[in-house]
Amino acid sequence: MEAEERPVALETEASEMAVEAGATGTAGVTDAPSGKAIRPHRGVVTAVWIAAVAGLALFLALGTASIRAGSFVRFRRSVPLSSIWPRFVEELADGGSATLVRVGLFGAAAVLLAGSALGLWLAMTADAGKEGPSEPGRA
Amino acid sequence: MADLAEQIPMPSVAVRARVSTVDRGRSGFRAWSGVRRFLLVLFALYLVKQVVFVVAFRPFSGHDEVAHYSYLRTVATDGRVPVLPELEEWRRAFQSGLNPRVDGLPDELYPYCAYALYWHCEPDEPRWANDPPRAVTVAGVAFATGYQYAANHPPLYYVLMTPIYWASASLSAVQQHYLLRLAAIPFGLATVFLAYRLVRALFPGDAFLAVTVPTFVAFQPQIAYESAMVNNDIVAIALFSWILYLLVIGIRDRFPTRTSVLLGFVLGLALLTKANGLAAVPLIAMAVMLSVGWRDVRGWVRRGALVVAPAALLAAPWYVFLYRTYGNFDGLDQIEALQSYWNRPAGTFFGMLSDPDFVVMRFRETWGEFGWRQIPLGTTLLWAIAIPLLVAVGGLLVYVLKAALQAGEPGDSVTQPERWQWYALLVLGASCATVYLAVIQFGTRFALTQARYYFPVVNAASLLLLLGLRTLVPRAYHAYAQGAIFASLVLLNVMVFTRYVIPHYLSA
Repeated sequence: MEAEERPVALETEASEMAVEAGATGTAGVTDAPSGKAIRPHRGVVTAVWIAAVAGLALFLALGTASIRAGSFVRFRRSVPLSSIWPRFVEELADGGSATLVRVGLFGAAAVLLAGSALGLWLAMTADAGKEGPSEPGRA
Repeated sequence: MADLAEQIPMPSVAVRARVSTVDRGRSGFRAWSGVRRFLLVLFALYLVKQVVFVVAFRPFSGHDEVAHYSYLRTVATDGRVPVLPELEEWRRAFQSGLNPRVDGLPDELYPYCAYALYWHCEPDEPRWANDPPRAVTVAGVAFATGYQYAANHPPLYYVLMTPIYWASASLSAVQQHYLLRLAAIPFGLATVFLAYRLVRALFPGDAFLAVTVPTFVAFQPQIAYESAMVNNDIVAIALFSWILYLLVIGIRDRFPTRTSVLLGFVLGLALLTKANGLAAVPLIAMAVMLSVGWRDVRGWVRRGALVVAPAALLAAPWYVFLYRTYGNFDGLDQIEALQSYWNRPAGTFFGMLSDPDFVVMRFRETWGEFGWRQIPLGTTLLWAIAIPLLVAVGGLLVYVLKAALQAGEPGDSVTQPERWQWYALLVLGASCATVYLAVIQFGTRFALTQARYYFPVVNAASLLLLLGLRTLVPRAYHAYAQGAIFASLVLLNVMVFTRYVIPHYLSA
């Protein structure tokens, strides 16, 4: 009874197919009819991704930040990012298990940087895929 | 085509035998939709990021961590929940020279008194080293201090954490507390996952929202902070997020029996976690009425009963305990009396509702402050956050207008919502309004009303805000906007840590 009353909320498969078959458009995107999903041009996405990842890497390596908390505030100067994070690691390492802390935190930093780069790529290339609503009565 | 993308390739038996587990994992990963691949990476990032959150804040510096740890210790070691002192009773005992028996915060945590609410704090004073203060006198009138002020919180979080406490009993309090902070992370992860499920339930085929809403929740600094502290808030947030998800699929499916019972079960858990779970009650009523129709009295009464029965069964013992112990259902009269020497109402209801400073302070707490207002964010950064959010609110208004005016015309399921989707959006909007008003209501009695009390609707607010942004971004640029939102939130976290959190840690 409830199943019959249930409204339908399915994304049309046609839109997904239109994406795959999409004709080349301008501005780095493939064109598609109104209301259909649009997949961007892979080359443009790659260029944007490279620029963003390179920008982040350069910022972390060479960038500075004006510190706005703690006793650093009184110096009123920008501090290189590359000095803040290692100091944090050393401070934690002083608390004990120094090697473990260093390896753990530098490992975490590496995972976060690589994960952010991968995440950015996937965020720009993500398609929704097929996942209709769950069955009536299924939460 | 998406059908094909979802199918995991099935090699022949001979080939299959040679396929290693790793290869199967790889092919499975490739066969996932892009959004699912993204989600997997987001989860991994979240877990690692949260470990950094756990270690980047000084021990017990989270709001009420001292009190939450103390509550847990009482549950784990005494097998009972702590009790608030009755001020008059305490005062009589104190004035007659007796030592009033009170569930107090542990002596060994006195060095962290600055992070507890009004525990008379002189940690460097030698006389308090072994016997921390338990009473203060204000204008000749005695008040308790260093008591367990979180004792009126429901017990679920502490019961859940008790096995961890027992398993780590040989560790120091600080080491245990870091372990308990780590134990909060799965609740944050569940909240992020529920944000994704919420989007998929409401707009199943939309990649923009499926990518950006979980990202927003995962990288929201204060939600992440809750998910790295010893506190019951993050459990309350996760359970409320589950309720919101069930409300959306309930509206979609007209609240079938299973969904209704499950909703009641989750509501019961929420009520056993934090009192702000009560805010879900009117939302559930609203959702059932909208979905079933107010004329179908039997329909909504039946569904209402299916929700109320499990919720009442689960939560009733706690509320009976509260009533028998305090003579009310929240212990707030006792709290108000105990705090009367420093607490004042934050304002009148309509005064706070129309006070720009109140709104600004809540916004500051939503994005920064960290704990008891330890690390305020700078004005420039707050504006950098506020402007896109204001644009998103504008976009939401545009969405509502456009969708309403174009009703009945062909379009996708986001720009042309069906009736049930309108109802679901209405309930999500109402959830944001309800909890905000509850924050204001709390402020009519307590100075320390604060933004984290509305964090349970983070998924609803995120979905509505990003729906607004989606409306303003031309469809051809959605993919780039997805990347921009992800990158902006990563950068926000880098800046917040580099400019504020780490320097604060190093200076402490």
